[in-house]
Amino acid sequence: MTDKSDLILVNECLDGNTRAFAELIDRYQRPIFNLALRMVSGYEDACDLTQTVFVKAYEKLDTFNPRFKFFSWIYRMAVNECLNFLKARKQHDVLHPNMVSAAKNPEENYLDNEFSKRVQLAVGDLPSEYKVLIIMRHFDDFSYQEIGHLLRLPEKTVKSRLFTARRLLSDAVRQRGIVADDR
Amino acid sequence: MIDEKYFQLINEDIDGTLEPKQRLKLQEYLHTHAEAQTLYDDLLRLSQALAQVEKVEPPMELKQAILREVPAKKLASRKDLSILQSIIGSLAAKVNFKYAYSLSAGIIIGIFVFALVISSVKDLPPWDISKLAGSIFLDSVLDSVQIADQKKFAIGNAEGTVTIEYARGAVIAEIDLTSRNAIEVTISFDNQNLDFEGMRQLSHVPKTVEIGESKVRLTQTGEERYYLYFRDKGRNISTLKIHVQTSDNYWEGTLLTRQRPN
Repeated sequence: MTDKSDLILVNECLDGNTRAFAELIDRYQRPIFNLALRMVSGYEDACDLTQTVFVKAYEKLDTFNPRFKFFSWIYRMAVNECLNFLKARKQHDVLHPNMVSAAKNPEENYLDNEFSKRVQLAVGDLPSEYKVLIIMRHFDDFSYQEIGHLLRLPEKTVKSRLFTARRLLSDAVRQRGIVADDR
Repeated sequence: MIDEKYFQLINEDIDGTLEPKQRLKLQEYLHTHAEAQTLYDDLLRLSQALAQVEKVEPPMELKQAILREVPAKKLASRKDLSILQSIIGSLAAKVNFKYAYSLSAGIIIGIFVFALVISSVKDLPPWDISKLAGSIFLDSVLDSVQIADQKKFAIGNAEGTVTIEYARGAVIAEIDLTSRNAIEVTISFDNQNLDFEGMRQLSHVPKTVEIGESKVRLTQTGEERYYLYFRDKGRNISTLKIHVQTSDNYWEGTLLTRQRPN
């Protein structure tokens, strides 16, 4: 049996079938939650944002254009929700300890994981417009073109901002002495 | 100081989008520029560290929390529901993780929304619902939507885009309109080839709607998107004619309901 396409599930939701929406949640809550977690650096806030995004998506389902992917649509909604949240908060929180997952082999990978953990902290400190690009490119593997489509930015701007974001991240890591510590 | 051009090449190499020829050029540059080599090493290491970050599983209860919230939200947006359903929906909705006050606020808003619904029901336009019967969205049909035709217009204070989509026997006219003043939009179709199934709009009910044998006419102001659904009887490629009338000007466009075969 093949899985139903997102579009079919959307149409079933529009017909009032909430079980179809449950299926969409199953498919996409993980990436949306992780996006929110990286963006706002707080576990509870990420839960709230994920919930808000899915509820808003449900309310606006009839505005979903079937020409586009459902995931792109909801992901874009999530990015906007996170940016609005950060704008409202206007302060930097530290990462929640639950955010950084445990190493599979702590002894062997200790340094790498420690480094990775610290890099994530530095990502959390980036300005929102750069942070979102690092997340989309490095955590969610979107291409320049896909990022441009989702953020409504020309591909050229995506590249230049992403490259600046990396430089800022590298500087932040260097300032924290992270690179020097781990070498 | 790293040359901007090579800064770009470093980043493109990190992303794996650099062509072999350019890669060679970059490597030559890195051999002779220690600062660039350091940046390259740092960015590569950062990229590898970011790639190692594992996804975090959302809490188990998150899905249920969302599902408890959605039926109430959806019900609240429909004008024809009873107050009882709205109130039950609001009460059943789970409050956010952090904001415990939202339940009480929700009840107050629910009462307010109900008052608005009651007052607006009286103002609803006289819909001809006889033509709206039948299935508008078929699960299997919209799986293969293709754009058949698209046209944009701008006249005076009104502008918009008309997109015709086709999907296995269904034709959808998606009409995006923005107008500062009232405009009249008439959609004419060939009823030999197309059966009008129904329409929906995103937010506001249009001021007036008339549905005839081969015409749908509506008036509206502001920004709105309409979807008109037709069943394609499958005989020939048909056309939809859209006429947009402002107080002193008009635009008319004819759009195909299917792509012409090559």
